[in-house]
Amino acid sequence: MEAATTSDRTLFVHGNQACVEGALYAGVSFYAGYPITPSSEIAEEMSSRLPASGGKFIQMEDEISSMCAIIGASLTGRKAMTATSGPGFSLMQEALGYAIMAEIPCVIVNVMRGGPSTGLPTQGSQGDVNQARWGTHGDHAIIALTASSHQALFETTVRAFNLAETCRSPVIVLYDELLAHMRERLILPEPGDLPLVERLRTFVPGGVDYHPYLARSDGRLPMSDFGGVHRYNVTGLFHDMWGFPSTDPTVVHELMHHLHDKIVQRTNELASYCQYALEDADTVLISYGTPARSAMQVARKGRENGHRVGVLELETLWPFPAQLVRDACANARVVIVVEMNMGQVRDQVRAAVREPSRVFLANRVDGEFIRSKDISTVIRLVDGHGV
Amino acid sequence: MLKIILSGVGGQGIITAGVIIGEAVVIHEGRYAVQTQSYGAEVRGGVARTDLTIDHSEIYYPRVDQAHVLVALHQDSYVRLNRRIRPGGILVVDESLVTLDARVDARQFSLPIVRTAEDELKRPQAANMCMVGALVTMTGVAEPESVRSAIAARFGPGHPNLAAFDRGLQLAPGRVLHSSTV
Amino acid sequence: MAVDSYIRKRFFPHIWCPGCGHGTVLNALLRAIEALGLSKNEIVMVSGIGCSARISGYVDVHTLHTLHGRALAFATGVKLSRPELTILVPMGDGDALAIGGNHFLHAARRNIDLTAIILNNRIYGMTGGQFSPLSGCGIQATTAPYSTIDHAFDVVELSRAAGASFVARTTTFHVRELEKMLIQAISHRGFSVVEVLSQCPTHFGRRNQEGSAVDMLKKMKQATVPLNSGKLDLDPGLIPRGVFVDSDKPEYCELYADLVARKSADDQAESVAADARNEV
Repeated sequence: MEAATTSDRTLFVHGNQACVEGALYAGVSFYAGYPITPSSEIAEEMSSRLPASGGKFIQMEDEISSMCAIIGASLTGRKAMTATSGPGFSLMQEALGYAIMAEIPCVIVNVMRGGPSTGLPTQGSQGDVNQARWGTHGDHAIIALTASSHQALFETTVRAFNLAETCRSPVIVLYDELLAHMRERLILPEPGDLPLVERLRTFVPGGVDYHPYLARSDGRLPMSDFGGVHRYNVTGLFHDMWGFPSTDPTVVHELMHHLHDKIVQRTNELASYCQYALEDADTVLISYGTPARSAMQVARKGRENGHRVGVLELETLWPFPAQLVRDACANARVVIVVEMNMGQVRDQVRAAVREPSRVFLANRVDGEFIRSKDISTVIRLVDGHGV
Repeated sequence: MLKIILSGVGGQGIITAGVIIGEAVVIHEGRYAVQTQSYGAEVRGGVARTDLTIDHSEIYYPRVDQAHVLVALHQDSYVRLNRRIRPGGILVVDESLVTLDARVDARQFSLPIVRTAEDELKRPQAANMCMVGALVTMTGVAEPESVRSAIAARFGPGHPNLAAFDRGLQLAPGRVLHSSTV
Repeated sequence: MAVDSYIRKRFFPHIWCPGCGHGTVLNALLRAIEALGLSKNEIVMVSGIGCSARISGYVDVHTLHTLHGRALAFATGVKLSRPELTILVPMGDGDALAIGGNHFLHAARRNIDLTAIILNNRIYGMTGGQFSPLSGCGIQATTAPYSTIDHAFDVVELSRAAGASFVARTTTFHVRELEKMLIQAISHRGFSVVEVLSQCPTHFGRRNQEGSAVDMLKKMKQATVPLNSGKLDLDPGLIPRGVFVDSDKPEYCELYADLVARKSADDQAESVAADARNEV
């Protein structure tokens, strides 16, 4: 047992508050959103906290405008975010594509509920993994992160803001309703404990030609705040290094590759994960979000009983860490993906591993939390032991 | 590990009761707790339920399928949830709102929780705090002092909920659950 | 500063068709900005998609060329973040009131300090002449080969009802009036709407036998009268021009600043009270 702590940095909060605490720690100063279960507590908490800390909160008329408003705010130099759930996330896809094209740092939180459509508003799901990847039209790359505990969600949210700045890209944080509404311990890190990435602003002085879309040698693109000394254009059209529309095939080709490569070529570096007892595991459980908690329980119990079970918990879903998954599964007899959908990550795992026929799915799509038994039953079936 | 389900009807403060216990355990005692709740579309009314798991180490699975302790402050939640108790577990109900069913395999305790809050404390909305008090006495789920700290932090020092909690401590017959589970 | 110093000359000639009214609006807008003596660095122009939205590319200010219908939503984010900036939002009729209708209503309701300029040519020009929510009944369009059966919005009434605190209407024929109204609209603190009836000879004029751009301009002269004109009573078909709403109503960013000040005063009082308690 740990020593009793009465520090005011120890909280007993729901996941949505852990997300808000992470965002505030990261320096969010603009929130626009529209109420939707199960994410509304994020907006409520932001409406209370931001005005008190010099930030701006606005409740917009829908999720479309919420996404647009955070892009506008980010251009003026603020760290900006919105939060929603599946139906609202669908409405945000248009402006999400804009943020990708115009390279606007921002964070979108999607607290996943059951879908499609209105679905299961008050119950958990992980059905939006593919929506996060391919919800907006056109070729693009995207970063999507997730977490399975409040401490991890806090850190993931901070990381989302950091990556948004580093990559000049929208970053999506996905987690399920169960994490959003359950309460558990969150210990707030002290300022400075976690690294923060601030907006990279150009050193080019006023009056000198500034190129908002010209990458430095390290791949980062210094920005200039709207209202500052550099006047440039921002558009959702393919554009040149000044931000002006272009249909020149060379310009279009280069921009498409830049948008893709700046994320996809850093897949391994972006891959965040936790692992448990993978070294000699013949049964590898791959999971993320709250189902990973049950996977951990199964693996610990399995180990106690002499079974070689290990867990790979993914905290980066996109770009999908295929290399990491391939390596983790190299010696596995059986790979079981544990998730609350019809196999969205299972499909990625099958594409990543050398022997896709060894990949199975342990899932629930009824709004209920995945129990240990749901996983152990699949293990028994795959091993030929029956239920 | 101790697994508790608190239940009743929406508006009785069931969830708040669960949160207070969780705060006492996590913030004031440095142990682990996970609390979940079921939501319906109703804002008021309907069965309210919160699950609490308390342990000395990290808790993975957050829901309670088989409770050591079940509290039911309403007949509907008693009927619906009594199968969620472990055989021989502890079931605490409100004397005036729940009629006990002898077939339930549990040690059942019927306490005057609501009546105490209404008639004696003149504060019907504090029945949930009386219930937390009774639960602390019966199960030792948390130290009374850490629950008082949690109540004071949430509602303010000197808040009537503190008196309701203290009165609740006296409502129970004494410790009925022994420490091996906590 | 000379008027042409506000434009990005390298992008001229512009993309608009010969005879289009949008260039006239750009001209009046630049003159209004010049008359107000605004610095280029303090202006943000936000536009959506369509012929009118291309205005932003030509003006040497901070320019944000966004999504169809969403300009006001982006502009709301910019303005709330940096209330000291002047935000101009040129929009087409379909852009502002079909796909962007909801954003328009809510920007007006909040009375956030943006200047919405609706370039109303009653047609979707860029996509090839489909009817818009301002076309009205009996109009020929590429999606109305048997003429439109959709009624039109009245932008002035809509804006007034939604809460805009400045609402004006004129045409591309009345260029001095347009410049004056834009000066008033930009100076106004609150959500301002200027509806400019503009001509699209290519798509609207050609299909509806309205003749050349000059004919269309003459028609706008004949079809409109100042809003206090007695002719309006005699001919209800005439369209009134002028400033319909100019009211002093609390502006959104100012209300937000008040809210922050109120909260900070409460916090201060609370902390003083807490200190006093601790001393006791």
